[in-house]
Amino acid sequence: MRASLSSAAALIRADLAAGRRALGTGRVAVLTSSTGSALLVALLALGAVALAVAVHGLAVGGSPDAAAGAVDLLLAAAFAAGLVSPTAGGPTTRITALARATAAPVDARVALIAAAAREALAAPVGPAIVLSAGAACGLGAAHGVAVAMLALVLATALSVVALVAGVMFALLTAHRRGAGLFRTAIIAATLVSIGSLSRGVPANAESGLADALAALHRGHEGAALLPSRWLVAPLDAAGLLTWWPLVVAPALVAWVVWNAPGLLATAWPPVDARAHPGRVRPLLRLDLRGPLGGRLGEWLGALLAKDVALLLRERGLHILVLRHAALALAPLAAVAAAAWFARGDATSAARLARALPALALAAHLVVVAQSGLATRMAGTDGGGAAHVLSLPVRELEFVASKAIAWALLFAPLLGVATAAAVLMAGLASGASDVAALTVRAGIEGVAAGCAGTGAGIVTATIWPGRSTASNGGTPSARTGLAGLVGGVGAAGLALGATLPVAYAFHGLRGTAGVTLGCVLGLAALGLGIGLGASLLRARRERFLRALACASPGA
Amino acid sequence: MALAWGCSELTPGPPAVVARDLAKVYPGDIAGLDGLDLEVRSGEVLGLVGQNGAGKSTAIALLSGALRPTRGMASVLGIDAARDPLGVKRLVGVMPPGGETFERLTGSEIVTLTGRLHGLSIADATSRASDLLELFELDAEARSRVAGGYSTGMRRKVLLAAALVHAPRVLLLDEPLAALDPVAAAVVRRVVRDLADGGRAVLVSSHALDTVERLCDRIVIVHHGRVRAQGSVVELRQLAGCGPSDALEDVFLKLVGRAPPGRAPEWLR
Repeated sequence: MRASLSSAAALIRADLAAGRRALGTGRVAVLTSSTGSALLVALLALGAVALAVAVHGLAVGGSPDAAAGAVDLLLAAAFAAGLVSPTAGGPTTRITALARATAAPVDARVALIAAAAREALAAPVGPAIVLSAGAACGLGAAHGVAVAMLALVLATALSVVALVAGVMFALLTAHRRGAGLFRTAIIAATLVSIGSLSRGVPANAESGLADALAALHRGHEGAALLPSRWLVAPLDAAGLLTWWPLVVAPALVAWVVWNAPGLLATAWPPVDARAHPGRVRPLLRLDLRGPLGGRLGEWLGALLAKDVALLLRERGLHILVLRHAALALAPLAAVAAAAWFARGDATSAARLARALPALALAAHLVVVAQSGLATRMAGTDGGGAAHVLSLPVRELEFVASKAIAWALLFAPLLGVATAAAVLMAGLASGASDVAALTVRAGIEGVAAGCAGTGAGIVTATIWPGRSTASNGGTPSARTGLAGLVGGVGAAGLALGATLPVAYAFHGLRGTAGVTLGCVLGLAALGLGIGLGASLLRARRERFLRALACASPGA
Repeated sequence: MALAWGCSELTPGPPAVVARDLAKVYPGDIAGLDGLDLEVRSGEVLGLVGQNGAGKSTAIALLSGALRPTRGMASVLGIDAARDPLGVKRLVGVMPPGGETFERLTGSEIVTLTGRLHGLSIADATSRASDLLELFELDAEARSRVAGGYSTGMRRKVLLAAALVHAPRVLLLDEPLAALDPVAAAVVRRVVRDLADGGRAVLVSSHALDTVERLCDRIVIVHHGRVRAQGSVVELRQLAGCGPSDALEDVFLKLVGRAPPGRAPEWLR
C-alpha cells in the first residue's frame, strides 16, 4: 500500500513537472512545487496590499508624501526580493519567488515611472502606484486609492487562481494550443469579472489628484479608462498561442470598456510570453559583397541579415520589448491623451504639453535601459553566440551586427512613439509649430535609441546571460541576478549615453541642437560597439564560460 | 551520396596540425592542458583519447584558435593559432562538443550561415547545406524547423554539416559520433574516411574506443593534459604488453595506469 502511494506520488510529481514544461512558466513551477507555500504567499500578498491601504489611509490627514513613499518602497522591495530569488530550492526561496510573481503587476518599474510621473505632474497626494499611467492612470485618477488597492487585491487573487487553474488544466492536456486557449479565456474572464465588480464601487473622482489626471477625467466625462497593462495584455495573450489573440484581446478590452464605463482595474494574470519552436519564415537573403565588397560585405551580409531577421521573427523578444516599452512610454501616452481630452481648456492642455519633454526623457531612459537586457548576446543566439566565435568572425563584426540590427529596429520605434505623443499634445494645445516639434521629437527618439543601443551592447558583452525570452520566460537565479546587475549596469550606462543627447535637444535651440544630438547619438552607438568589441576580446574566455561552452577541464 | 565539391585531392605535405608543449590554465589555476605535443598529417585520421577532463576538448579549442594557450604553440598549416586565430578558423572545420548552436535558426540556416561566414556565396552555401543535411539524413521538414526543438543527435548532425560546409583542409571533430543513431554514425565514419583519403587532416576526439579503433590511423592517449602514449592500434598494444586479441579498452587502462574496474556493489547484483 505504502509502495503504491509512493509510486502514485512520484507519478503525480512527474505529471506536474510535465505540466510545468507544457506551460513553460517558472511561476507555475513555483506554485506546483509547494501548494502550501503558494497559499501562504497569496495571504502575505493580500496582507501587504491591506497594509498599503492602511498606510495610505492613515496618511490622508497626515503626511501623504511619506505614505506614498512608503508604498513605493514596499512595492519596490517586494519586486527586488522576487527578482533575486531562484525558483528552485527550499520553501523560503520558493515563497520569495512566488512573491515576485504576485508582485508582477506592481513591479519596480511601475513604481519608478510612477514616482517620475508624480514629480513631473506635481501630484499632491496618493501612492505613486496609483498615479502611474500603466497601473492606475485611469483607475486611481477616476476613483481614488481605495479602488486601486481593491484592484491590486483582485489582481493578486486572480493571478493565483489563474495559475492554479493553469496547472490543473496542464494535467489534463499537454496540448499547447489548448493551454493557450484556456489561459486566454482566463484573461477574458478576469476582465469581465472586474468590469462587473467595478459597478459597485463609488466614484471618487478628482479627490487629491494631479492636475493632469483631473483634467483627463474632466475632459472625458464617464471615461472608460484603460486597465493596467492594457497594451501588455494582448501581447501576453499573443505570446501564449498565436497572433490571433492580439486581435481578440483588444476586442475584449473594448467590450469591457463599453460595458463598464468609468472603471477598469489592474487585475491581470501574470502570464509569460513564450516563444514557440516550429516552422519559421526564411531568413533574409542579404548579399552585400557586391555593393560593399570583400570582407565588409561578407560579414554584413551574413551576420546582419541573421541578426535583423532574428529580431524580426522572434516573437518572445517582440513581446519582451513591447511590454517594457509599453510600461516606459505609458506616461508619455497618458499625458498626451490627457492633453487631447483637455483640448477645450487651452491652459490645461498647454500645461500638459509642457510636461512632455521631461516625461519623454524619463521614458527614453527607461526604454533604452531595457535594450541592455534585450540585446543580450545569448538572448537571440543561444549557444550560437559561442558557435559564431568559433568561426572566422571578428569580435567587432559580431558586436556591430547585433548593435546595428537592434538600432535599426528599435530606434525608429522610439522615435515614432515620441513623435506621436508630441503631435497629439501639440495639436491639443494649439501650438503653432506642431510639425517642427513633432519632427524634432521623432529625431530625438531615434538619437536616444542609438545612444541606448550603444550602452546596451556594452552591458550585453559584460553580462551575456540569456534573456528570459530565450528560455520560455522562465526566471532562474542566474537570470535573476544577472538581470539585476545587468539591468542596473545598463540603466547607468544608458543614463550616461542619453543625457548628452537630451541636453543637445533640450538645452540648445534650432538645428544646432538637433545636429549635435544626432551626432552624439551616433557617436554613442559607435563608441558602444567599439568598447563592446574590446571588452569581448579581453573577456572572451569569460564570455564563453558564461555561455557554459568553455568549461575548465573539458 | 558523393560530395562533388569536397573531394579534390590534396598534396601530402608537412604536418597539417602541430602542437608543441601546448598548455592551458583556466582561471582558478585549473589545468586544462599541460604540455601537449602532437602532429596530424594530411591524409590521416588521428584519434585523441582520454578520460573525462583529460584535456581533449581544450586541445581542440586551442588548435582551432577559439582559446589562447597559456604556454606553447599550436599551428594549422603553418599558421600560428594564437597569433592569427582568424586565419586558422578560415582553414579548419570545427565540430564543438555538446549541442550548443543557434536555437532560433533552422538547421539549413545554421549551415548556410556558417558557409557564408567562410566566404561562400549564398547560392553555394545553400546548395552545400542541402547536400550535407541530406547526407546526414535530416529530412526537409526537420531542416525547416528551428534548432531549439531538435534532439541532441539532430543538433550534432547540423554541427557536423556546419564544420564541413566550406570543405576545410583540416577537420577538428569533438566527439563526432556522440548521440548519433547507427545509420548516421556509419555515414560520418564513411565521410571522415573519404576526407582523409582525399588528403585532409582529421583530428577526432572521442571516449568511444571502438569508434576510434575503427576510424583512426593513429591514436594519441591524453592523460592529465599530457600525451601518455601514441601510435597505431598495433603499436599501442605492443606498448601496453597486450596481445592482438585484447580490446583497446584494456590497452587504454594499462597505458593510463588504471586497474580494471571493480564489480558492481553487492546490492546491485
